[in-house]
Parts: sequence; C-alpha cells; structure tokens
Amino acid sequence: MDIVNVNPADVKPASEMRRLLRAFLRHRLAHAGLLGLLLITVAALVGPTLVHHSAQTSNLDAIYSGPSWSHLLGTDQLGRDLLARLLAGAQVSLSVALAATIVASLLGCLYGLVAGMGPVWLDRVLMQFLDAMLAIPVLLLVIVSQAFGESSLLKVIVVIGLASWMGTARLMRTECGRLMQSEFINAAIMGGASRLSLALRHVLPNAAAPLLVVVTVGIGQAVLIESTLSFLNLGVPSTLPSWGNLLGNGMSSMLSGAWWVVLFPGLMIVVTVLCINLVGDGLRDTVDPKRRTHL
Amino acid sequence: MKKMNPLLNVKQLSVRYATGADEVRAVDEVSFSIRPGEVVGLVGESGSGKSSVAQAILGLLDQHNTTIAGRIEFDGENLFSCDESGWNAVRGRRIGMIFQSPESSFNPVATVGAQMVEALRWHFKLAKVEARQRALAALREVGMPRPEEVMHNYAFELSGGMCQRAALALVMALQPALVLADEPTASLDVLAQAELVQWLALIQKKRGFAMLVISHDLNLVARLADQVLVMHGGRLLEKGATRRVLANPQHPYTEQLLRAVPRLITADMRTHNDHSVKNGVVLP
Ligand SMILES: Nc1ncnc2c1ncn2[C@@H]1O[C@H](COP(=O)(O)OP(=O)(O)OP(=O)(O)O)[C@@H](O)[C@H]1O
Ligand SMILES: [Mg+2]
Repeated sequence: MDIVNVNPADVKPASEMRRLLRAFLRHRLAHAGLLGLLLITVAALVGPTLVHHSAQTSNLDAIYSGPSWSHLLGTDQLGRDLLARLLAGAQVSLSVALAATIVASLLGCLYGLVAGMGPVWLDRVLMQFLDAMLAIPVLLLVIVSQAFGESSLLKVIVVIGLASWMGTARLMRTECGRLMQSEFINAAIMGGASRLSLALRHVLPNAAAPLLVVVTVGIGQAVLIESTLSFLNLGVPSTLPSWGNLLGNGMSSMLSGAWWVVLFPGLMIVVTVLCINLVGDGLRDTVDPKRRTHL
Repeated sequence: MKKMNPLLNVKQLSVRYATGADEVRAVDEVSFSIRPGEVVGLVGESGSGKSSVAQAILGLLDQHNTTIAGRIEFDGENLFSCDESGWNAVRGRRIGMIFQSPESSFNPVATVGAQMVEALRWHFKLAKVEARQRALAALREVGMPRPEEVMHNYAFELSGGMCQRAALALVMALQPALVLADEPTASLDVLAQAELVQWLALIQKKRGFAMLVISHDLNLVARLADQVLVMHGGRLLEKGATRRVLANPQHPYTEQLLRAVPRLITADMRTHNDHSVKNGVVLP
C-alpha cells in the first residue's frame, strides 16, 4: 500500500552555492564595498587613458599647484599631475597586492594542508614554526629582506607574500582538523581515498568558502603593507608611482603646505582597504552566519 | 554447541582524548567480541563512548589528540599493527560503516554517483563502466527510486532517507563481513527510521554479515541485535543475549535506560501479539 507521498524531508533544499550567493547579495555594506572596488578597478584600468596628463612628465612651471581645472587633484614637487599619478599608482598598488596575496594564499594553503594531513610530528614542527613566524613583526622581516638584492616589483611581491601567508596557513590547518572529523571524509577513507586525494578533492574544496574570506581580507592587508613599505622607501621602486610612494613623496612635501599630495593618496589607500574589508565582512557573514554582525 | 571463532575481538580497549590540559577517558578497558553473522547492539547515553569504540575499530580516530590502548583483532589479525595499506584493505571492504548523519556522509562537492563509483573502482579494481553498473545495481537493491538520476545528484539534493539508502547501498556493494552502524536512524524521521530498520534486518538476514548496531534507541537494538552491550561513562556495564538483558537487566543503569523508553511506543506496540513487551521495549 502506498501511504507516504508527501515527506517534508523530500523537498529539495536550494543549492548551497546559490544560498551563499543570495545571502551575500543581501548584505548592503558588502554591496557598497563591491561597488567601490569596481569603481577603483575600472578607474585603474581605463583612467590613465582619460586623463590628459602623463603620470611621469614633469612640468616645472606648475610645481605644487593646488587642485584646479587643469590639474583636478593638483601637482607634486615636479609638477606632475597627481590624478594621473594616482590612477597609474592604482595599477601598481593593486597588482602588487593581488600578486602578493596569490603568493601568500598558495603558500599558506600548501603549508596548512601539509601540516593538517601529514604525520603528527610534522604537524607539531610546522605549527611551532608558524607560531614563531607570527611572533616576528612583519616590518622586521621586510627590513631584513632588504639585505637581499635590488628593490624591484617582483621582490616586493615576494616579500609581502612571505610576510603574510601565516593567516591562511593557520586557517587551512584548522579546516583540515575540522573536516577530517567529518563523516564524508571518513566515508571517503572507507572508499580507499589516498591522503593526497583526501587533501585535494575532499578537504580543499570544502574549505573554499572560509579561504575566500581570508584571501579577500588579505588583499586589503597587502595594499596596506605595500603602502607602508613604499612609504618607508622599502617597497616599490621609487621610479614607479605606487600609492605608498606617492604618500611618502607627499610627506616630504608637507612643509611646503601642499596638503593635496598627502591627502589624496592617503584617501585612496583608506577607501580601497575599507571597501575590501566590507566585501570581506560580507563574505564572512555569508560563510559563517553565526558570527553575523547586524549593521 | 561449539563456539565459532569470533570475527571481531576487542580486548581491553581504551580511548583517551587530550583536550587542552585535560584528558577524557572516552572508552575504558572495554572488551567484547562479535561472531560471524552475529548482530550486536551497543547502547548507552550520549557521551558514553559508543562512537569512539566504532572509530577505534576502523582506525579513524584523530591521531593528533587520541591515545589508544588495548587490542582489536579482526579475523585473527591485529588491526593496530596495520600499516596504511593494511587499513585500506580492511576499511570499507571488510568492515563497512554506516554513519549517523546521512547527508554528511557524502562530500558536498561531488555527486553521490561519483563517490560510489570511486569507492567501487578502488576496492574491486574495476573499470569505470563496470563500477557504474555495480553502483546502480546496489542502489536498486536498497530500493532506491530512479537510481540513474540519484547517481547524478549531490547529497544535499536528496532527502535524508534517500541519502541513508545511498550510503547503505555503497556499504553493501563492498560486501563487508562486518558492518558498524553508528546511530543509523538518529537523524531520520519516524517513517524513514522504520523503513531503514526493516531494510537492515532484511539485508542482514540475506547476506549474513555481522553487525555492530550503535544506538540509544532500545527498540532498534531489540529489533536487530542478538547480543547487547550496555555502555556508560566509557565502561561496559553489562553484556548478554538481547532478550535476557532487556527482560532481566542485571545492572541498575540498564534498568534506568529501560525505564527511559517513551511510553507512547509501549501503548502502540502492545497491540502486536507476536512480540512480548517489557518496559516499553519490544522483545525479539
Ligand atoms: N575529538 C574529540 N576530542 C575530545 N573529546 C572527544 C572527542 N570525541 C569524543 N570526545 C569525548 O569522548 C566522550 C565519548 O564520546 P563519543 O562520541 O564516543 O560518545 P557517544 O556515546 O558516541 O555519544 P553520542 O551518543 O552523543 O554520539 C564524550 O565525553 C566526548 O565529549
Ligand atoms: Mg556517537
């Protein structure tokens, strides 16, 4: 006899991905952040072609001229157009931050996976080393790295990457611990899955959501580190207009009363990092609804 | 009657978890054995160490924070001396496991079919097509509706009952000699529970594998098990034939467990005259 036709458990739940996407799109501040980032990215990509001035041409007749119609954001100590330099700087700063974050994420994921999936003794050693790394201030690492080789874009990327993989590594290690106790991992072990297959096909994809959050926030952090380094003349070569370089440059011009050379690069950095963090917060709330902060 | 050699022999098994500075004695010198084809029930309240026993048998405990002592023999072989390939030959193929939460026994980022095919290929060294056919046959055997479709589904697209059946199908397809079922009905609705128990009983009779049924549902255990083990606080308090233990418990804790069985079931089950009912539990 057919009794059961309607079983509430038979109603298909929405796909996990679609649910996450919907939750993210509901997050208003993340919206604002995403919009801001989009604007900044578009400006960085097409802006330089729209501005009449070049980022590198100096004009000794227009040294420290304040914001005006011909120079919307003013000029610097060599009469170079600040808007053009900010837009060119966006390209440099954002690509450095992105590349450094990719380096850090790959390194961190690999480290965390090896620690979490490898033998227990290796885990202990790797976690001890990680703690030691976390105890060393990032700036100290960077300054020491100055001893090796000329400053170049590649070097900045590698240095920032090496200084910021620890968060990802720790998260990956925690996710390994959490997921390795889950039933589907045990089921996969029962199905003969190797450690490598467990790591790459079962653990990594299921850690993707929290990893995405860390990576997003990491980009913002990398923008900040890049600015700090360049500001201290330890980062992007001073011939290239990164935001940090502009800011550092501006600081030495402060006495001349040219506030715009400091304000605008500073503003760009703050707004960009803020936007990235808003997106990161939105992602975090979607991934981990328990920690949601109502704003 | 001469006793058969036990299939599984657990001797003085202890499991301790390190939690920060503390240590939890989850399993404390537990000994029992299961003969081929025998169904043994393991009952006890939440936190009594039931799952830890099952995980120890399959070597699934997290090596980072657990200490195991004792000995587990399966088919005469000491499992604790297994290396990785030794474990791989035992896990799934010779000892199967049915997990508590059916949805989470499948990886959410791969289809149910892909996971079944992978396990079948690995254990039987099959070609993809053959493995697929076996997976389909296994799904049909557990009465899965539209098995071809289910193969392409993700676990979250199936109901709990369907997931549990798919998991069951995979376990059965590997033809283990011993099946560990850790609270197999805990997350199912009442109808799906009844259905699953019926299936388990049926397929166990047909295939004749041995089974360790872990549950705090005494009715489930009474229905399936020949022998019952009662666990509390990591210790084994009582063991014996199901009928004897449930009808005439020797340990006060067992009596307490029996008294805790919901009354509603009693009233309902009393109408069945082919079973005797004691303390709300339908005796086999
Ligand atoms: N990974 C772990 N780390 C620390 N303690 C644990 C861990 N797993 C289990 N325990 C502890 O060990 C004890 C036994 O747990 P276990 O899961 O074996 O009990 P159980 O009888 O299966 O309970 P339940 O019915 O809730 O599933 C509990 O006190 C639990 O808190
Ligand atoms: Mg349990």
